[in-house]
Amino acid sequence: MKLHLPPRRFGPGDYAPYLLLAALIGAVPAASIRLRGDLIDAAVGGAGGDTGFWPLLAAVLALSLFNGLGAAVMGRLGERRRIRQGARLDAARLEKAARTAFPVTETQRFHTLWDSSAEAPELDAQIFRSLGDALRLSVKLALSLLVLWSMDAWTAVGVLLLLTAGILLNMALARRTDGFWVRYRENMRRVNYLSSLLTQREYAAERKLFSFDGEIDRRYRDSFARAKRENAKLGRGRFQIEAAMQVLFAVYAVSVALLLLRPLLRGAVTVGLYTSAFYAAVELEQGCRQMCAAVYDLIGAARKLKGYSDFLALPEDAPAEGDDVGDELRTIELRDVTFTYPGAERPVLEHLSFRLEPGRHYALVGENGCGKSTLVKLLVGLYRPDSGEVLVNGKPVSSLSPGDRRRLFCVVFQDLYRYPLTVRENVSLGMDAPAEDAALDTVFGKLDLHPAAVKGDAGYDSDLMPLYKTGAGLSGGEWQKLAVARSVLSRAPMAILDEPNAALDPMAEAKIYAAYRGLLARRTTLFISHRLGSVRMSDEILVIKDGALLAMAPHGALMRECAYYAELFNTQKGLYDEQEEQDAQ
Amino acid sequence: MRNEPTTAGDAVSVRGALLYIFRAAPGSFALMALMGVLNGAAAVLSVRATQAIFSHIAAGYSPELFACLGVYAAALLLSAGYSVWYMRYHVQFFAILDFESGIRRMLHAKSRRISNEDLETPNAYAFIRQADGARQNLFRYGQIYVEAVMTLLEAAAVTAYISSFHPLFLLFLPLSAIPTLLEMLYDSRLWRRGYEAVTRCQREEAEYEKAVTDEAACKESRLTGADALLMEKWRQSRGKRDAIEDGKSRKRLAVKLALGIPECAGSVGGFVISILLLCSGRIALPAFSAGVTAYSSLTAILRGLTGTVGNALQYRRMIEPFFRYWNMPERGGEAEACTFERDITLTDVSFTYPNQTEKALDGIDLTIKKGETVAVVGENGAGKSTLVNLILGLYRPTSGSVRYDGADILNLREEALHRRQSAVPQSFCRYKLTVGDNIAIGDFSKSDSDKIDRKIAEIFPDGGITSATPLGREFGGRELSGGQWQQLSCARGFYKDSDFVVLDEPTSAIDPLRESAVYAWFQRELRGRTGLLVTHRLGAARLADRIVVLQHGRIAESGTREELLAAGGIFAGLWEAQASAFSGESR
Repeated sequence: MKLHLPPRRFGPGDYAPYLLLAALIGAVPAASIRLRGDLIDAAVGGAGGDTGFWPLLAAVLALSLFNGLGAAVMGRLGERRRIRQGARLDAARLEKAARTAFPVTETQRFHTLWDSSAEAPELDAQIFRSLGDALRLSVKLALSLLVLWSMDAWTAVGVLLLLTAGILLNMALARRTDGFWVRYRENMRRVNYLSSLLTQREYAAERKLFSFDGEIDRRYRDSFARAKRENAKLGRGRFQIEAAMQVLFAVYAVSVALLLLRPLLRGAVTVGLYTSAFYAAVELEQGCRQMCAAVYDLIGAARKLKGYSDFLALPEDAPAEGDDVGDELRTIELRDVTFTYPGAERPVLEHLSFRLEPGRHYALVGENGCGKSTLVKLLVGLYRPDSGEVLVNGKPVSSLSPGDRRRLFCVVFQDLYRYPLTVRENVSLGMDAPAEDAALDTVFGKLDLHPAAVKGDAGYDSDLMPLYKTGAGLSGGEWQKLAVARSVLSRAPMAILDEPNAALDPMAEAKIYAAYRGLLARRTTLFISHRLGSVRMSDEILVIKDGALLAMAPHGALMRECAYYAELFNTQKGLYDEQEEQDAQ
Repeated sequence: MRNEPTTAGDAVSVRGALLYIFRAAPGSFALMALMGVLNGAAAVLSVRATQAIFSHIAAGYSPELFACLGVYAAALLLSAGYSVWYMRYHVQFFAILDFESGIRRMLHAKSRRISNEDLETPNAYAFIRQADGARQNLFRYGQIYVEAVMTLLEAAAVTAYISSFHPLFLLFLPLSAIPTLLEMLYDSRLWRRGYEAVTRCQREEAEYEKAVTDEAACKESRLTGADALLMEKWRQSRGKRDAIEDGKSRKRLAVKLALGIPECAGSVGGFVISILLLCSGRIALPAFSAGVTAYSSLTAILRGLTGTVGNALQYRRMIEPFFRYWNMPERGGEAEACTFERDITLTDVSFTYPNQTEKALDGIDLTIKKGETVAVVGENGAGKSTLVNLILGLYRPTSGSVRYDGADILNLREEALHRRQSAVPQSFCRYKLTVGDNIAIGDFSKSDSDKIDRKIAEIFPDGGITSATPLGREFGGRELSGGQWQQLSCARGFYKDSDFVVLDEPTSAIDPLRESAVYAWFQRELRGRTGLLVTHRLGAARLADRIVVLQHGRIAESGTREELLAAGGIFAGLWEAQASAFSGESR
């Protein structure tokens, strides 16, 4: 059975005192029975021996105190372990997520493993606890079995058999329930999604307008019933083994009562002894149950940690080769680049070659789904091409260190993320130092983003985390401008804007492009847009169609030579063309 | 005028909670009570059976002895059945699921009854998430009560059993029970005290974690290095939370150590008393050992009982979010008949978002005649989407009225109001269902698969995508581009039969080449319908009979396009800015 313990994060230092204490506490019941027996003898005045009543009483009391206080200390050690080790494990998990190779983060596996690795701190704590339990119970059971052996060997053998059978059953159970909760949650995912359609606010408007509650609720119920059936199947397997164990224990309890009758009827033991032996056997049985549970928990948790170690084993970006490309951008070149998404039949981009020179303004146009966004990801090294090369200053972009990449590129993505950070932090991302108030005032002013609108109670240090009511609630357009402000303030020589105008109104759009041309005059820019009126001022326009570069030229030349581009442009122009409209009428 | 939202009450009464548990899953609740009784009975039965066994052993292998052993085994199996069949199988795989589902369906229904302006506040966002998270705790809460009652019965039975040997046995019981009780009370106080701060930290951490692992964030963070900052904030929050937890754990240890002494004295005291009773000949040896064992199990039962009560106190806190959401004010409105034969009129409508002071819309007067298409233009933040929500009746005006054919829509039941409306909202939804369902969800009551298939063929001319194609990577489906999603949203809006349709920035993500075709499609669909078109793109306003220009929450201009262009006001300025991008080019 393969157990998954994260090796360097095992934290062995916590174990020694905990396990020592566990072993000592395990010895308490046997010692206690012995001392209590002596105490009774001393009280009755029988063969108590040399020790008197009071010292014995003190010893009993001390033992009981040790038992109670020791358990409290063990509890504390367990909690301390959970807190400290939990923080270590969770931090390592989050760091790993940040280091994982970008294409991997787009897979479902990444998110599934991320979810399942969340329970690592709890699992580690469970391993810690159940190891302690297992040791404590082993000592306790071993000592009790010795006592029982001296009384009746057959009963002792019976207990031993029971214990072995129980532990074997539990190991089988641990195997059977492997990945149990992962599958359980998988089955519930659809159910949870359907429920979110009926409760989450982003669906509130359509939910009411289209009154889809009824049908979605019906599907929710169906999908719930299916998930429940699947999960019940999982549960049934577990139940069968557990039920078998319970029957085993009940049979044992009855057989002990019968087995012990033999010496009683022979007159070998008194009724009093029979009674205490019976209770001792019952206690042993409980010990066995607990031992089985500890073994199950231990194995189960160790196996479930697989999710965590799998997550930590996800591929990362190859470490940068340390080639210093410098802070300046000399060229960006694509050489015969082809890229296919994993699992896709056709490449999204094929045999793409072009070269971008510093200080020029480029635009990338093409229809939805033509590969514009993919091209950006290739350009900045988030994706690696199937074949061909992406070179920055003559060096492969994949060899750039994250720091170099950050210094060279500043990208505003269309589906930009709304970071739960302050306004200032959001704008200063990727820069060496946080932006000053004055700089923010200026750039917001140029982008026509009212400083007052983005300032919450704490000025630019207001947190934009959606949890806080105090934070300034920004609209989609305002978030977009925030991201644009970031690329204006950034010193990166190459600025890329992926459809920055989608959420912006016309005046803001015009202002942003004007501001951009002014503010980024000496930098290299790449605008991705399908609003052609906005990009025609670019020095060169790259036209992408069906995964290939159709043309790369200034607007004027494209209008003359590229029929596809001219068609795109005139279609949009038509919306503003008075003449055409009158002709149509 | 809408009522000011009252502060949502979050009072939880035990009876109220149990009532909801019963309502959500009456069958499960009844079984819960029954199983509790059986388990309690099993415990009592096992104690009585052992007692009977001892009284019969002297006679050797007698039928009575076998009968007692049989009862004993039955009791063991019964209690095993409780823990293994009921708690670990039935509860986990049936009862709790049914119950959670019942609670969820109650939440679904509740969400339908809350007006959107209340539902869309950050508060409500947190409430609903927490309410959903509380659903399992509600079940546990009910279970704890049943458990507490049963443990109490068990304790009573064992107490009676012990005192049947000799009442003095119980002399030291308070000494071992009271420390446990104190510990529990202290524990739940500790828990309560840190609860707010701890859950707040947990939520913050969840936000930071999402910002590191979210798909869109991953892309951006690789280029901005945001992860380092997020991680630092995560560490701060986690450190704060861990310090609270560690402090609590230490205090708990101190209290346990302090209270452990009287507790031990109590349990040893009980033992000494029984020895003294034995020595003085007041009890016999069998009664002595039975009594000692029963006494130790009684202290264990009492410890369990205080633990249960402690849990109840904690769970009570954990289920509060459910009631907080459940008690949120509802929208109301009774009337069923909604007609739209003449016009929609807005009279002096103002709107302020809940928990805000500034008016988003101020004194809007507007009439939309049946059959007419009105365009609303204006800058970001001018109040366009708010106006749309008010006209559709999704928001209730803070003052003024919205009337359909002269009837105030606040008097209508919401379902009736929306029956003949349709819309393509600005933040349209991306349903992780099939492509076909993304359209059909506009009106599930009709089934026109031909229309859906035709539309899909238009939106996805390259083929490969059919009505049955699942969407959403999360469920192993495909992902679409923004423009494709938006076209699906448009198809959804037009699929529903309606008299009045709102298009809120319906082409923001759509391709230029498709755009004119999309507008032609809008024009076709708007024929015979009343339309409201919200747009940044003034060129698109040609679809409209009349244009309304919003600025800072007020109507600044209105008229036909020609009138507005001639007037040379705001609209004319905006038009110039956009048209100039294309000017100076001849075909």
